[in-house]
Amino acid sequence: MNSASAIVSLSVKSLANRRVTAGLTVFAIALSVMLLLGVEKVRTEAKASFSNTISGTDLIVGARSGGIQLLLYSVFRIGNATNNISWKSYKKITDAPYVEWAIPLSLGDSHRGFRVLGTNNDYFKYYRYGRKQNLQFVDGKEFQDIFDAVLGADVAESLGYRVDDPITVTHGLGQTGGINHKDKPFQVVGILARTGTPLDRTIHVSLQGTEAIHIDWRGGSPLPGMKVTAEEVRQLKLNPKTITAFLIGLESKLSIFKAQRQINQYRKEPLLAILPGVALQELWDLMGTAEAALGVISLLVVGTSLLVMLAMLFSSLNERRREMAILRSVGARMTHIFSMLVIEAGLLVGAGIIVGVALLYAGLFILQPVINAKFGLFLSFDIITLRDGLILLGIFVAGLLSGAIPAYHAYRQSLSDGMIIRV
Amino acid sequence: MIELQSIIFRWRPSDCPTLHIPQFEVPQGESVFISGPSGSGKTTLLNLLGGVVVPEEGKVTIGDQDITALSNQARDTFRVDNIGFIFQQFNLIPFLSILENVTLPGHFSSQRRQNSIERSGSLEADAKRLLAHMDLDLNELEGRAVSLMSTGQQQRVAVARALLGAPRIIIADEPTSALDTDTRMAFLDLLSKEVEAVNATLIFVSHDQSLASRFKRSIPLEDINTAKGHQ
Ligand SMILES: Nc1ncnc2c1ncn2[C@@H]1O[C@H](COP(=O)(O)OP(=O)(O)OP(=O)(O)O)[C@@H](O)[C@H]1O
Ligand SMILES: [Mg+2]
Repeated sequence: MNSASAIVSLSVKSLANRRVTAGLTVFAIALSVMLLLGVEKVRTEAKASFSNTISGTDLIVGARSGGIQLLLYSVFRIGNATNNISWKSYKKITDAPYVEWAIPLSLGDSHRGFRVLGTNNDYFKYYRYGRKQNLQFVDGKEFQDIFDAVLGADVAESLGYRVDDPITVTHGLGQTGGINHKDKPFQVVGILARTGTPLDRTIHVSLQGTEAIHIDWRGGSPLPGMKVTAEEVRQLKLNPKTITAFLIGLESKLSIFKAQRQINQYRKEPLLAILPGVALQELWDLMGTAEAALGVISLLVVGTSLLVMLAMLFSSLNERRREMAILRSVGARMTHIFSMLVIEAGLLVGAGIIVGVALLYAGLFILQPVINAKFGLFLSFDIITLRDGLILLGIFVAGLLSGAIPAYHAYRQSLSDGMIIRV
Repeated sequence: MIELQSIIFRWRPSDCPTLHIPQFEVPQGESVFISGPSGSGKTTLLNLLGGVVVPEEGKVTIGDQDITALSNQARDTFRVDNIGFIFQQFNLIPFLSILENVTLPGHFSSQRRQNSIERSGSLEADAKRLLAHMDLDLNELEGRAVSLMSTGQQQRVAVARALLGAPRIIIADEPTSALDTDTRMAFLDLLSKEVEAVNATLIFVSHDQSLASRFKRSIPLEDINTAKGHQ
C-alpha cells in the first residue's frame, strides 16, 4: 500500500467512524438525486407517452375551442369538450374527396373511473400510435353488436375483466356517484394489446351503443316516466345526433392545410381542425415554464444536499485537528490532507448517487402501477440514459468541487497547527 | 547528527521570535533531555526539527541534509523517513486499529517500510515485534478500540509506531506527562532501551525536571534559546 491508497483507506475509515452523520448526509444526497432523476424521468416519459399517443392522423376536428384543449380531450382523455359537433357536419366533412378515412369519437361516459369512448370499427382499422403502429387484439375481436365493448389493456388488467364479462357504464366521469346505465349492460368482446398510451385506459364501445344508453335521457339525466329497455332499443334507428370530435386521415399530405382551412371556415357550425404535431408543440411550449420550474427546484434540492455535506465536513474539521497533526507526523503531505477531505466528499456524493439511483428504481417499482393507474403514465424501468448519466456526473463533480472548500480549510488549519496536537 | 545554526523562528510575522537559537548540536545516537516551562517553545522546536515549520533564518541540518533547503514535499518525506514522533497524549488515530496505527509511517515512507520488511518480513510482522517489545500483548488488545486502552498503553503503542522502520531520530514531546509516576519511570526505561538498541538519536522534551536524571545529557531550553519568551 502506498501513500495514495493509504489516504483513500483513511478517508473510508474516517467516514465509517462517523457513520451516523455520514449516513444521514448520504441519505440527503440520495433523496435529492432521486428527486432530480425522478422529475427528469416523469418529464421525458410524459413527453414520449404524449408524442406516442397519436400518429398518422392528419387532422383532429372538434367544436371551436382551444387547440390544446381539443387535443387533450379528444386524444388524451384529459378534460371535457365544451360543445359537441353534429353528426351531419361530420358526415359532410368526411365525404370530401381528399378524406381517406375518419374516426368519430364520442366521449362523456365512464366505467369505474375509466373513460368510455364511442366510436366505430374504423377506429381499429385506422388508428395509429407510436411509430405508425396498428392496434392489436390480445383477445376477442371488434364490435359486432351495439352493446359490445373493447377494453384497453389497463382496463382489463386492473379490473380483471375478460371477454364475455358484462359491464355497466356510468353517466359522467365520476368514479362513483354518477347515474348508472345499468338497464343496458355492455359485454366485453375484445381486449387490446398494451400501447403505453391513454388508449390502454379506455373502454371502446360502438357509437350506437352510446346512443342507445342515452335514448331515454335528456340533458344529462333520465327522462321521468320513459323507459326503453335494451331489447326495445335494438329495434330503434340508432344514428347518433352528435359526437365529440373526429380524426381524419387524408389521401395526400399536400391537402392538409386546404382541408384545415375549409373545416375552420365551415359555415353551418363553428369547428376547429388542428394538426396533432402542431398542437403537441404548443402543449410543450405551455408546459415549458412548469418544467423549468420543476427542474430548478430539483437542482436547488441537490444544492441543499451538498450544503448538508459541507456542513458535516466542516463541523468534523475541528475534532479532527489531532488526526491531521498525527498524520503530518507520520509523513502525510499537505496535499494528502487536502485530498483526504476531497475524497471524503467524493465518497459521500458517490454513495449518495448510488443510493439515490437505487431509491429511484425502488420507488418506480412501487409507484409504477399507481402512477399508471392514476395518471395513465407508464414509467419504464430502462437503464439510466446518457442524459441522466451526465446529470449524475455533474452532481459528482459539483460534490468534489464543494469538497475542496473544507479541504482547503483543513489544509490551512493543518499548516498553521503543524504537529501541535490540540485537544 | 542534528545541528541548528542561527535559527530565528516566529509563528506569525507580527510575533516576537519564539525561538532564537545561535547553535545547538546533538551527535547521532545521543539522548538529550530538553526542559523548559510551558509556553517556552519546546513543541515549536520539535516542529522545526521535524521540518513541519521552517525558520525565517538559519539552518536545520539532519545527517548531512539541510532540511530548510528542501521543498515542502521533500521535507515531508524526509521527516517520515528519518524521524519518529511521540506526543504528549492522544497519539493514536481513534478509528484505526492498533496495528494500523503502528504501521502508518510505513505507508508514507518507502524507506521505513523497506527497513521493516528487511527486519521482520512484513510491516505487520515488524509492528507486532515492536508491540511485543513494548510489553503489549496484541492477542489481548487486538480488536479493542484504541481509545479504550489506558494512557500508558497508548503511549507505548506510540513508541512502537515511532520506532517502526528504524528512523534515525526519535522525537518525544512530553510523552510521560499524562502518566502516573510509576508508569512514567517504567515507560522511560523502555523507551531508552529500545532507542539505544537501534542506535537512534532521542530528543526528549518536558517541563518535568525530575526526568533529567535519567538522561546522559540534559539542557534547559533557555540555555540554547536566547529569544525572550513573549509569554
Ligand atoms: N500554531 C501556532 N500558531 C501561533 N502560535 C503558536 C503556535 N503554536 C505555538 N504557538 C506559540 O508559541 C509559543 C510556544 O509554544 P509551544 O507550544 O512551543 O510551547 P511548549 O514549550 O511546548 O509549551 P507546553 O509545555 O505547554 O507544551 C507559545 O507562546 C504559543 O502560543
Ligand atoms: Mg508543548
